[in-house]
Amino acid sequence: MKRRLALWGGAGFVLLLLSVIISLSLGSANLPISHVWGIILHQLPFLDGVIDTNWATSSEQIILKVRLPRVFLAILVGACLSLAGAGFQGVLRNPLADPYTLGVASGSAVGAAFLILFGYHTILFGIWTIPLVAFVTGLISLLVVLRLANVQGKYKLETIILSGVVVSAFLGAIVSFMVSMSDQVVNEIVFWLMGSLALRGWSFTFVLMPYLAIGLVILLSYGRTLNLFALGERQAAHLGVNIKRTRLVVLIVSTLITAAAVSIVGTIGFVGLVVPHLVRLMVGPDYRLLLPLTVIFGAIYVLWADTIARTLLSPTEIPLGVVTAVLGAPFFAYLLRRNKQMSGGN
Amino acid sequence: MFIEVEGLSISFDNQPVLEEVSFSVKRGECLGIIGPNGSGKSTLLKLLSGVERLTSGWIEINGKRIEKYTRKELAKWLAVLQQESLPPIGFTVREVIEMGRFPFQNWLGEEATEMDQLIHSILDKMELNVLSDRYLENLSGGERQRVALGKTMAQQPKLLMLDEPTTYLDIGHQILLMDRIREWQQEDELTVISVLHDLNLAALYCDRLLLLHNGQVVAVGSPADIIRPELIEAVYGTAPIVMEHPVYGLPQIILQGESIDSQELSTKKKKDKVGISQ
Repeated sequence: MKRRLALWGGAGFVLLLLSVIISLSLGSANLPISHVWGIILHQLPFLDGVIDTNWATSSEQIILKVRLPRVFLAILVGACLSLAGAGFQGVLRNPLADPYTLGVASGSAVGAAFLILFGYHTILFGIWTIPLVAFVTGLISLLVVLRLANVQGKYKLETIILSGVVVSAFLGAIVSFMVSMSDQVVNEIVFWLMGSLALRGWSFTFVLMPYLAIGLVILLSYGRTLNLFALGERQAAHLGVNIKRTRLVVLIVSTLITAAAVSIVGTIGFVGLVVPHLVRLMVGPDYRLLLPLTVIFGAIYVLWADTIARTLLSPTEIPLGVVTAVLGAPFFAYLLRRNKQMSGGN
Repeated sequence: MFIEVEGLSISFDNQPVLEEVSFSVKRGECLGIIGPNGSGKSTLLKLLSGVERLTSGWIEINGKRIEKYTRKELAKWLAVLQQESLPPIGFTVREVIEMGRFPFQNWLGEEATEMDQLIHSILDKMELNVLSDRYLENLSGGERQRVALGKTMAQQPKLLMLDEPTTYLDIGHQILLMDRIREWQQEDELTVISVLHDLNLAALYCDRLLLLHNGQVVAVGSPADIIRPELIEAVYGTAPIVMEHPVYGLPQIILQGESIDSQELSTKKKKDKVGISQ
């Protein structure tokens, strides 16, 4: 198990590093990869003076001030959403669960949109305000969805998704209403709602970091417990798992990291659905491998989705949420179909 | 007494499911709980395994009230084998059996002593050696139930509860499963409480039987005391023929239906015989 984790983790990390370098060189001003390497390595204090600075200062500005923060944000957002997706899927034992289908993302968006539209960005807690409020509204909508889906103490696969869709639609209407009532530049807000990483400085990256760190530590410690959940909740209980506490902790932590990501980049759909499944195809259902690898491959996935978003129709930028939806919705359909076949076969 | 149950009552939606159930179980004994559908067998087992919360009465396991145990403490010496076998998931047989060690592991999944030996002997005992690297999703229901029993063995419990574990199994697997449990009971002084539908299996493998009807204990006693035609008829509403097992001397039942005409059958049988000899 540990060897496989090291192997896949190492491979994933190398792939992530290469993706970062390639993504940094792509853009409206195409920079040679050698310059990208140089500029990055040049930042490391002990390499100062070793590398020839044979590039224009503008290149350095583009890399360090524009593209690098964006790349980092993409990595963090991808890690957050994928990890949250894996958490939701594990604890609800539902392969179709993810922050988007459960209505958590829309719930968080309502809270964040309210603050952004009416100018309360930094009320009370400064830069931490939006993620905290988004967390609360995300949690409330998750509770509503689960409440709706609860039929005699059991959560059926389809009813959860159905409730998620209903609640999401309702919350989407609220956001649209708020947009129409606000006197801010509508274009900007709409772009945020569709999900975008454009023009976010380093500060946002730093906001996201502690959420991911906390979520990662807590969820990783639940890897073995989620494996037992896969056997069924009663089986898990008989093996000594505190079902209620596990459910509560994993749902809250997954909502927290979802809210953090959504409050900064808007609703980006299907990442939490696609990535855990891709990782599952590679390494199987063991959450001790799945959770850490989901973080790495989620980072790679969103990094490339965002690279496509900003380069495909350059200089026009496609919203990131559009790219992930175009990639993710067919995948969701595929999963739905496969699931139907499996339950039909039983 | 290893397990004491006193005055257990519970109702759902104002419908009493169990009423004043009291009994006790000795260490190393196998108690079978039998009774018709809806008699409260499964509810009783849920209460005993701590999944369902007590509303009145009390249960003491090893001198301590059941609600005083945490889930993890309880799992260290109480294991449950359920009716439905494990779901068809993408874990290997070995991985699932290792999951039985969960209550003994720290949060990193490590244990003080190496458990490879134990896992290996369980794979041996349950004849799962050749299957150890196969995924559960590729196994039959009977094989998965064998894995489930292997997982409870890895838990090394002092008390094993069985919830109709043979329901979905063929006769070969039924006997294999009950034999392994019996051997385990005798070797390790394991205490077993088993809900069983099959009265013949119950009579063969249990030391004592507890007969439940409408949530109340009708009788507790040896198989010979319980498996009697008039008692079975009073509870199940059908009168079987009870015979002595030719080898073990234990009571076994043979069913008889009302719509089956014995005379018609015997003449038909003669005709068939004639037909074959011609």
